Amino acid sequence: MSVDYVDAAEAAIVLVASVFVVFALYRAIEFRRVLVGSVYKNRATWTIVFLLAILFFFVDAQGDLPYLSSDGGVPGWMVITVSLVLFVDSNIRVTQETDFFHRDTLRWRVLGRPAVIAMLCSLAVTLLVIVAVGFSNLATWGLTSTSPAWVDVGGFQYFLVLGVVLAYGAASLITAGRRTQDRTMKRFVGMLGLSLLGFVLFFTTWIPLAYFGNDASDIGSELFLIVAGYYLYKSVMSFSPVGRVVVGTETVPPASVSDLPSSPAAARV
Amino acid sequence: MVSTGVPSLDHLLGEDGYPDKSSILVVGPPGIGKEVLGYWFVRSGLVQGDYCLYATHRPVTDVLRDMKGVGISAERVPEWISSSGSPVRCDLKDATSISYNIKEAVHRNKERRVRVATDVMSPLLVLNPLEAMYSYWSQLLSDLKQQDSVVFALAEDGMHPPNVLTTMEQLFDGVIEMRLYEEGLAITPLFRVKKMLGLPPLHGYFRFAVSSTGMEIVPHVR
Repeated sequence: MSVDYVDAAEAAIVLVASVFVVFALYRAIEFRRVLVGSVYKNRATWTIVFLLAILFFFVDAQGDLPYLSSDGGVPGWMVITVSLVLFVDSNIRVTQETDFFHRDTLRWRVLGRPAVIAMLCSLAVTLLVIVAVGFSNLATWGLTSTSPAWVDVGGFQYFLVLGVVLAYGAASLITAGRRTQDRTMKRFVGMLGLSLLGFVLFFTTWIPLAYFGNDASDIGSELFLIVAGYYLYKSVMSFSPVGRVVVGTETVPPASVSDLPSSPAAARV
Repeated sequence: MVSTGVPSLDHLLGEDGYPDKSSILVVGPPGIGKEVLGYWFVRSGLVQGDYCLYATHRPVTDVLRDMKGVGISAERVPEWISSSGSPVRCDLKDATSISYNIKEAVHRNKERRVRVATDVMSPLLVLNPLEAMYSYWSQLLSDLKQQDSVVFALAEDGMHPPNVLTTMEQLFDGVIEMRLYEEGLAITPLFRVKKMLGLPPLHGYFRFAVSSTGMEIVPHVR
């Protein structure tokens, strides 16, 4: 019976985190609609893709979607990682845009694209390995001692390349975020950092929490998903300062063109 | 009067656009489309044969790419003072040279009507004390208005403490604010004329949309 409570608690946690991500997704779509600058639109687009990947991850954690399951979800992980790198890339470009001196932080403008291409090539190699191994064997792919060496190398080289590209991207984003004078951007980088910290804690805290038992370990670590989802939402809301139309102040009633003087001469004092 | 380049904004401002010999400040967050107003302002001047100067901290190629993105062809271009790609360089660390170069270019074209668009205000405000910048812009705007010129400046919302922009707004004859507003779950880009020389206060918000064929501004009704 206690197992049911634990399952229910886990489902509730993932549901709350998913709600935050859905809100963030909706806001990202809104920002993509209203922002004009191409760099800013591009960031909103990749944020949407990244959030959709995160949402798949959350849903998968509960539902075991085909080929996205946490047991052998290599394709799902790849979608998440690729979208994460492109999301980071689009954010670095925004921070560079808001830097008045247009500095090429850690030479990302020159090396960023080759790094992303290298990662995609590495991904292609891994996908070839997956095709060779067969999708049906994904559950044990690369994780068993019986796997041939070429399968292990072909699979795990992607995570090595990904790690390097992500570390480079994270360093560039943090540096560019520190350089920019845009306080909104600084806030965004801070919120994104807290969100990623939430994900890191989710992936790591189950180890020390296992001391208190499996249930405590699962629930305790999954609570960090809520933190991650919340700060992901806050980071999306930091794309641009958003005000509120205040009712009952000088700003209402809404102006109407017909209220304006018909002749310029009459209008000008 | 000087056309804004956006017919619906001209209409909003009493059919003719910005007042002669005036200075206009557009305030808004990055990416909202402030520059588009500047592009159409310059474009309108080029079509009418005015002398147009664009002083920017960005490279010329970036500005031209942006212009193309909003449907403004590069067949007619203004004179540039920019961080790269122009004969006269915009060095943000040397505010005096920026001011000198702008005034020099305007003086060389004093026989024509002049339009100056610039986005260097925010960087200069970040890099210099407010008091110094207040005097700097006060002097520059005053000098430019001696000629037959309209100055169009952009300022970044979110990069300065609120009192900084409020202080700078005092120097300008017209202030336009572009911001994003939250209405329920929707986000709406709105536009507000905070003040405009010669016009009674225009209370209220206007919705705006930027497309490749221009900019549309309509009253915002809740």
